[in-house]
Formats: sequence, structure tokens, C-alpha cells
Amino acid sequence: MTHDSPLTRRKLLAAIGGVGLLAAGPRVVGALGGDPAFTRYTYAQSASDGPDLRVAWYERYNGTVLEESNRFSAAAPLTNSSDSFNASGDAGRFVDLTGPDAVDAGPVFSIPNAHPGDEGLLLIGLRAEDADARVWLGVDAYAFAENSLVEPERAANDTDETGELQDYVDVELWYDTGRLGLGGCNGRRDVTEEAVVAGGTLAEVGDALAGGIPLEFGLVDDACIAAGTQRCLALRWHLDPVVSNVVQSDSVRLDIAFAATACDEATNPFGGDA
Amino acid sequence: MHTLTLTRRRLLAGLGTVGVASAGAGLGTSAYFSDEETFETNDLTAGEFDLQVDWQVTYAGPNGFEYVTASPDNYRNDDIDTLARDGLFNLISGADGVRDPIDGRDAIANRAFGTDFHALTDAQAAVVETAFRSPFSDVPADLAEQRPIIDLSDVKPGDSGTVSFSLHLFDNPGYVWLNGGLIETRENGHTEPEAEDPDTVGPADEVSASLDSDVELLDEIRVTVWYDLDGDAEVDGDEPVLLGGDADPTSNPTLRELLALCSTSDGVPLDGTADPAAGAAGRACFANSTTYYVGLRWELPVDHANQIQSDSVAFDLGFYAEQCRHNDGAGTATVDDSPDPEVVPTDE
Repeated sequence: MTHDSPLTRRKLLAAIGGVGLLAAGPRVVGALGGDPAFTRYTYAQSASDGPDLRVAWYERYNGTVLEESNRFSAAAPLTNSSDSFNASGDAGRFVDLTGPDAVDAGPVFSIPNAHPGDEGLLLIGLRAEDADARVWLGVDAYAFAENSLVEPERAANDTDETGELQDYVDVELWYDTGRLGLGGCNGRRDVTEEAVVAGGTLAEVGDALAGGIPLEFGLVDDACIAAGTQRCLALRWHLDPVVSNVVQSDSVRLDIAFAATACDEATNPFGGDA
Repeated sequence: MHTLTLTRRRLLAGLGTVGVASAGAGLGTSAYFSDEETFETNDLTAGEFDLQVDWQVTYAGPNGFEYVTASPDNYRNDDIDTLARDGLFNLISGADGVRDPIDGRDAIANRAFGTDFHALTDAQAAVVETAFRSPFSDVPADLAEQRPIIDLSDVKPGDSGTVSFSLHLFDNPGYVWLNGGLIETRENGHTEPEAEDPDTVGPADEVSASLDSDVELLDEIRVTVWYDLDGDAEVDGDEPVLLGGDADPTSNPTLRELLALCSTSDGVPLDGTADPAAGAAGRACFANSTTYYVGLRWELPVDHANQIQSDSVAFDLGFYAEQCRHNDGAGTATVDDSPDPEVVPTDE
């Protein structure tokens, strides 16, 4: 399923206003004799004229890296460190999944034969390429399929046509930012340092995030990802060893969408609450 | 006095308006100042894990060696490896107590599509897979009528019998245990010779579902558990023996001892390489889609045995399987390191 950007003309104007603000920034700064650091804003006037979000990722399944995005630039694979993501981001290796320059990533995880006790990690780097960007996350869990009803499932009193796997897969999403710039993007969540975006069963997380939420990578009131930098968001899934046979052969699908807007954009691109 | 105060907030708002004008001029209305990146159609599918069985039961009693029951048994056999055919070379329907040979996937694929299994399309392969699995049984779901499969009456000293189970794990490899337990044992009164036998203990009307029962038949039946590599339900010299197997049957474990082992924890661990010394933790898994044979031989030795007259015993034998992944085969009772009992997908 594709999340078409549900931007109306009204929202479009709001977005344009945001960009205009950015474009005008250097002139203001210049007139006031201000900080040359703001010159990065001039990028917003060229090329795409808006938030340009690029992504990088690696996927781990039971401890083995199955998929990572540096393959598109034939570079050394991403590793679980913020240095790795920062170096890749600065070298322009983050990619577009949509738009004219999009790479064909396919599903970033496709697990055909999950067992109780399995776990997987999807670590996503988000880079604001040309302008500061506020990033919104929308998650859609769907296609809950029973597939075949094998004998152990029937023996566990599973008789319906709807799959149960989504209620047994535990998912946790967190800001893998580390602390003071250290220990980010490592796929481990330090409960004292990194905030959870959402957690629960896959079905619960899908329900909670279907309407989209703004990501708050920084401190309060500083939610944006600054232009030319990247932040990591981690998604861990786990199929508990204590599950019933009813999940056998069941399947689920999952879309994970990120929308970037101007920093002051208050309208949720996914249609949910801002 | 009217002072112009332009706060930073208002300044930004004003500049914002300027921005709309310039951007609108350059890009028109088709530009979306938002960017979206979507990781689409990620897929998570749980595996399947299904243990199915078929079997052959034999009995060497008053009529000598005979095949008793089997599954699958839809056709007459020349012998346990060959189906009988009539004068027109057609198979002859009807159960004869001898297990029908199991066709492999390649044999079915060649008969149906004229090619080996690996060369089939997905749709053809699904048809062949269904046909391949159709002879096997999920026990007890498919067998409400036929259990128990060892059902003997009037057993006398010198009698013996076997059951050879053929195990098929589908879709994923697993650890397998032989399990089971006593259902019920009865003294059924004391006949006169039984009452006179000094080995007779316990009340004459004892009915028990406990292995503490005094019913003597449990101690007099001796058992051998072995890997029946060729699936012929006979203990051959080259086949590894897991329990018993002595030439002198009275040296073998008793049925009571076997049932105690089978009903303790997960049961008797079986090894995928048929190594009797493999133990439980770290032993070899049974590969999926591979046929394994495990046999149980019982015998009632010829010695003074009047104490068992009219005794009866009913018991379950089955198999318990657990996924291989994230598991060492030690069994659910011992790998558990959490406060809750650990249950991994299993099949019996």
C-alpha cells in the first residue's frame, strides 16, 4: 500500500510558506549582519525547493545482516554505529525511495519462515538533505493472513480465516539517538537514554501509528532534523518463544512511511492528529 | 506616538508571505513541499511445523509372525516394500495390515507430470506436495476411531510384537521425543493360578492409571526401542538400539520403566542421526521432509508368569516435536530460564 501524500492545496500553501521562510532567511541574517552558519538555508532555493528526505537502513534478522542500503552506492556496508551513518550521509549515500531518483529497494524485510524466538531489527537513518525538516512517521500493518490451517493450529483451536501473527509479534520503535551524540544508531535501546516512539504488538503499533505522528528527535521545541544531518530510528520486532501454535503459517505486511515537512508544519501529512 | 515594533515572530510571518510569492512563481502549483519515503510491503510470515506419522504393527503370537495393522494401508502388498498387482498390473485395493510403500515426491511428480519434483512449476509442486503428504496421519486428530494402535488381548508368555513408526516433519526441522504414558491398567481379578503365584501382589480388583500400580503385567512386558532404519518393523542386527535390545529379554527395560521415561518431562529424546548415545541437549535435529523410522518391540518372556494372568494394560505412545531454531533439544523443562513455562511451537 502506498501512502499518497494527502496534501491539499491549503496544505500546499502552508508548506510553501514554510519554504519561503527558509529561503528568506539568509537575507534577514545578512541584513542584520548575522550568523554565517545560516547560509545553508540558501540550498532551499535551489533544486527541490523543500524538505528533501533521504534514507539509509540496515536490517538484521537473528543477528545476521540481511539488507542494507549502501549496496546502492557499492560502498562499505552500514554498521551499527552513528559514525557509519554519519559518514554515509555526508558522502551522499542516503537514497530516495520515491521520486525520480528513487532506488528500488523492494521490501526491506521479508521474513518467510519466522519461528518463535526470532527477532529482527530495522535501523533507519533519516537525513534532511537541503533544509531542516520535520519528519512524520506513519506505520500501516495490514494483510493479516491465516494462509493454511495446519494441524497444530487446529489443535490449538484456531479455526477462523484471520491470521493471528500480528497479535504475537512484539514491536518497539525508538529514537536511536544515543546520548550526547554517542551510541546512536546502534540498534540497542538504552531505556534511560532513548525514548520510545511506540511499542506493543504489531497490531497495536499499526493502530497507533496509522494516522502518523511527528518524530521528535531533539529536545522539545526542536523536533527538526537539521539540514545536512541524519538521525536514526530503530524498529525491533520479536516473536516471543511463548507463543501458541495458532500463528503457524500466518503472515502480516507492514509499510513504514516517513514524510518530511517544513519544521513549522503543523498539519499531519498522514491525516492523523498533529 | 506610534512606534513600529517588529518582533521576530512578526518578521518571520511577513517573510513567509514573501516566500509564498516567489516559490509560487517559480514552481506553480504542482510542487509539493513535502517529501515522503516509504518502506513498503515488508513481509513477516511465520513458519509451519507439523509432525505426521505412519506405522506398521506386527505380532508374533499364536499364529507366528504376522502384520497386524498399518497406516497407510489402502492396497494389498506383496511385501512391505512392494504393492501387489493383479493380472492387469493394477493395484489391488483393500487393507491387508501391511504398510503401503510411500512414494517420494519425485515418483509422484514423474507419474503426474513426467518430470522430477525440482523441475515443477509452483502450482504443480503444490499438487505433488499435497499428494505426497496425503498418506500420513496427524495423530490423534485423524485417528479418533483407530486408537490405540497396539491393542492386544490374550497375550501369553513367549509372545512379542513390534510397532515401527515412520516420522515425517514438515516445513522445518525439529527435535523429536518419544512420549506417552499409562492410560489404565487392570488386575481384572485373580485367577486361581494367579492367586497362587507368590509374585502376585495387590488387590484383585485393582484399576489404576498410575505407574505405582501393582498390576504385574507392567513389569513382565519387556521393551526395546530402536531406530528401525529400513522401516521393516523388525530389529535387524545393524540397527541402533536406544533402549533394551538384549538377547535375554528379561534384561530389557520393563513396560513400566519405558512408560515412566516416556511420561517424564518431554519423553525419550530421539536423535536425527540415530545415535543411541546422543542424549538430549545438542543432539541432531530431525530434518524436515525426511522419513525417519523408530521402532518399539515388546515381548513377554517365557518364565513363571502366572501372576500376570488376565492383567491388562492400555498405554499411549506418541511423539513430541519442537522447532530446532533457538533450541538445543534439552527440552522445555530445562531450557526455561524465565519465570513462565516456556512453550515453543510443538506438534504431537
